[in-house]
Parts: sequence; structure tokens; C-alpha cells
Amino acid sequence: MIAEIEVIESKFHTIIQGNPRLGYKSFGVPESGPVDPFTAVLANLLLDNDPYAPLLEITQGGFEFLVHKNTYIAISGADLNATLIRGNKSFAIPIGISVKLLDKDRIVFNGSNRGFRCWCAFCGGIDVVPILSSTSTLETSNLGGIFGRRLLKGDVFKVKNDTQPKNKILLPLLNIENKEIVCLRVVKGSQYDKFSKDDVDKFFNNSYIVLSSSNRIGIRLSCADKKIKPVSGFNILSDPSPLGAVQITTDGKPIILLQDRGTVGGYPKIATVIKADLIKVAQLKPYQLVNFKLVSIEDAINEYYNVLKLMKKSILEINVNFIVDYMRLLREYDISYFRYNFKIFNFLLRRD
Amino acid sequence: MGVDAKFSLVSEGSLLIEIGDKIDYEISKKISALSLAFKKLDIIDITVSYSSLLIDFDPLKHNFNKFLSEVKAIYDFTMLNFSPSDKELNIREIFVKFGGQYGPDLKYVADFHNISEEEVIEEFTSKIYMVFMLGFTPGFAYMGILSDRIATPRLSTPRLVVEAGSVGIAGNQTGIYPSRSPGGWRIIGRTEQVIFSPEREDPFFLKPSDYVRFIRVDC
Repeated sequence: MIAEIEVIESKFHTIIQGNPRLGYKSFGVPESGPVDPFTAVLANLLLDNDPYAPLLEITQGGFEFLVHKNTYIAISGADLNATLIRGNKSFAIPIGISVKLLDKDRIVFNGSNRGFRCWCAFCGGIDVVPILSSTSTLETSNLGGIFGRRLLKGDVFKVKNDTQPKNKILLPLLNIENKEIVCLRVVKGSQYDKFSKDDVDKFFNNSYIVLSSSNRIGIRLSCADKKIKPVSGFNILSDPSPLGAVQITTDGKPIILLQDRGTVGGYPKIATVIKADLIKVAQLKPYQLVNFKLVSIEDAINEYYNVLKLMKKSILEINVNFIVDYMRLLREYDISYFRYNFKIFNFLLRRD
Repeated sequence: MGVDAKFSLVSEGSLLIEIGDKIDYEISKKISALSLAFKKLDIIDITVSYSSLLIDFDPLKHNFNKFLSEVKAIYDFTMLNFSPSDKELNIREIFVKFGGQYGPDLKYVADFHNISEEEVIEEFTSKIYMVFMLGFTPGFAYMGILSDRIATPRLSTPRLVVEAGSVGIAGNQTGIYPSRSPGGWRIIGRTEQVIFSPEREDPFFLKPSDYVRFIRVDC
């Protein structure tokens, strides 16, 4: 019995993302896919799915769906206070574990104080047709997903299968930082050498505020201190924009280019955010402060390697006894992602 | 080799190769030849632009120095065997309705150069243009090189909506909007030709190194 999911509410931005769309950049097609590919993959792995099976990328919350027939889901990333409503009862859904949903269950993502984006995977993945060899939605040209756009109230989609996944939990190894200023590590960008030394210094000494106009095309930033004159951009002959490139517009506003960016662009790119820090980028909320720190390519590669290693270690298969203990823990403690995961973590350390 | 290329890592998994910094037929043909040649490598994707290429690769799969020497070897070999003459000219014909509701900026372009709208259309359709690169949005072809008689700067504030098929001018480039999107190019006409259709076996009507001839049709 294959489940169907009906969207009841979609206030902000919830979109289907799957595998990156590769091989079409020279035709102007960016890769799309989840903003934080590492964390998104974990939601799929919790359900024994293909790592890039299509799932929901939920930004900010304001999303609700109704389940027809049974299925399993798993959530990774931000804690958007997911709640399961079954009859007249409601339960908090923890991040990082597969949850069985029954016919007529409703799931509400209310929103959070911790993080900005989460990924909700379904058993077998969401059933969508790949376009240009990818299921990921690219809104700017209506590709992939459902009608090539974000999900709207009334949309219905199917889930691929109903096989019960193995019991696994996600350890919070790729955790979300909760700092006043998020530091993004970067390497030198394509036009780094074309900026004056003063401008480069200014770029690294300034802190920036995330603007609410940010989206999957890019995170838009503005100088946190209005009195500081921003580094001003200039026009270049349009050249390729790598994922994570930080371009400086003519009015001095940096934009971190993300998965749905234009493949080429005419603003100079001073830096590129390292792959490992896409985890932080995906969780940037409007008004969050960020700054940039220059690291070497070698450091960037090492960090990338470390993230992949942590990903492998994050998923833990658990046995029946453990589940009993785990359920007790869930009842016992406040359903705050960090706190209970911390408890689980300690618990596991004690067990070993 | 013929040109001095600059190879730089612009991320841990992206290598930028620059062979110039201008819009130029020969540079563009070299870029095309290189992009074809680099497909031999075990890479993730490749982006081409006017005078540079970006190779995306998995940094954990390749030892960088070894990878760079492979890239350089292919570069040298390709440049050594490069000949700028066109082997086969692939000319695409595109039928365009100019002016009026289809080309709201045709009058501006004419006024900007102190010529008539007729003369703009004549000048525009008298040449064939090369597709230098695709970008901005899927299938959007950057073509040129427009004569200075009709080259016109972009709008200072982009339009929120430009209809699919709109033919625009920006400086000495021309392009066709494949889908309805925001845009800052001066729109002089519109074509019914579907430029990008993901369902089609060959989704992209125009590809880098193609040539385009615009043909006027009556509104």
C-alpha cells in the first residue's frame, strides 16, 4: 500500500530536492539539490533510501501535510518543531530517527529557534519523474519536482515504497552552530587577485547580516555596520560561478551563490565558501551575522574529508533493547533536539 | 603554447582555466575544443564561458597535482591541434517579430543611435552571430558580436518579467530568453521558436559554437 502525501499548508518555502543535476552546466543549468547535501543525505540513510532519493527541503517551517495510508519519514537538519497529530493527540517528532506514520496522520512543521532548513525523507523517496537526469526542483526554470516549483497547498505526491526501515538513529555529529556570528571558511575566489589589498582586508574584517531576500539562488548579505564603506564590486566579462562563490555586486553587497545560481555571472567573485561549511550556510536565517575566514585549499579538502567521515559515523543502527530505552528517554526528556540527542549520545558512550 | 592560460583552484573541487578576458571568436572556439577534450577526464561537470572554463571534480578522488598535470597535458595537446577554421558551420535560423508589443525597446535602441527602427532591424538581421556560451538560465545563449551601430547598454533596472522567446540586446551581445523570467536586456523582438524544452530529446535548441541567423517575420 503506497502512501500519498497531501500538502495542507505551505506558507514559506518547501521544495522537493533529489540528486544534483550534473552534466548540464555548459548549457546554463545549475546543479540544484539540497542546500546542505551532507545533512539531507542522512535523512535518506535513516530510511535505507538511496542517498539522493527525492525528499522535502523545508525552510523556516509553516508546512503541514496529511498522510493517506501508512509510511515512514525521517528528518535531519534544523529543528522546526515537527509535530505529529494523530486523532486528538499530538507528539513531537524527533530529528534523526525513522517514524512510522499511519493513515490520516498530520505532520506540522511549526518553525524553530534552532536552524532554518530541515530535510524530511519518505520511505523509498518521493515519487517524481527526473528531468535532465535529476528529480531536483529548479524554480527559476520550472524543472523537476512537482510542476517545477515549490510545494503549494493542495499538492499531492506519492511515496515510492512502504518497506519498514532498519532501526537507526542519527548522532548529532554534524551539528548546527548556535553562535552570534557564524564564521564561514573560504578559499580565494576567481577574482581574488583583482581586488585591492585594502578591499580584501576589509572583506575579511567586516561582518555581514543575512538579508531576508536570500533564497536557493544565493544568500544575500549586507555590511552589519552601516557606517563601514563596503568593498565595491565591478563588472567583469561573465565567467563561471562555482558553488559557494561569494560575489561582490556593484553596490558592495556580497552574495553567496548556492545550488540554483546562474551558471555564469558578471560580478567579481572574491572567495568561495568551502564545501564543509555548506552545512552552516543552509542554516543561515535572516538577520544572522556572518563573517569570513580565509583557509588554504588543503584545509578545505581536509574539512570536506572530515565531514564525509562524520556522516558515515553519524548513522547508528540500534537493536530492540536500545529502542525501549530510547523511547523511555524520549518520554523522560524534553523534546529538544540538542538536549535529547546529547542524552542519547551520553547514553551510548556509557553503553560502549 | 599559443595563448598563456591561467589555471587556478577556485574551490577545493573546481579548477578555473582562463585563456583571455574578452569576447573573441577564436578564444571561444578554443574554449569549445577544450571543453570537448576535458570530457575524457573523470570529472563531475564543466562550465564554459567567453574565455574561461570551470572543471568541477571530486577532490577526494584525485591527487590535485596529478590531476592538474593531466589537465595541462590535454590543454597542450588540444591547443597544438587547434585550427581556428570552421569545420562545419551549424547555422540555426530564428524567425523574429520585431517591435511593438514583441519588442518594446526597439524604439529606444533606434533613438539611442539616431537611426530608424527599420535600420536597427536591417542591421541586426544582416549578420550571423556565434553562440559564445549558455548561462544565466538554462538554454540562454549569449551571442555576438553586434555591430556598434546597434549595440546598446542594458536597462538600468531589470524588468521583473520578460516573455519567453524575447530577443534582447546588451552591449554588443544578443540573446534569447528561453523562459519567462526577469531580465535587463533591451528587448527588440520575439520568436516562437522553443529555445529550451527539457522534455525534448535534444532539450537545447542552441549550443556553444552554433551560429544564428535572425529572420524577420511580419507581426
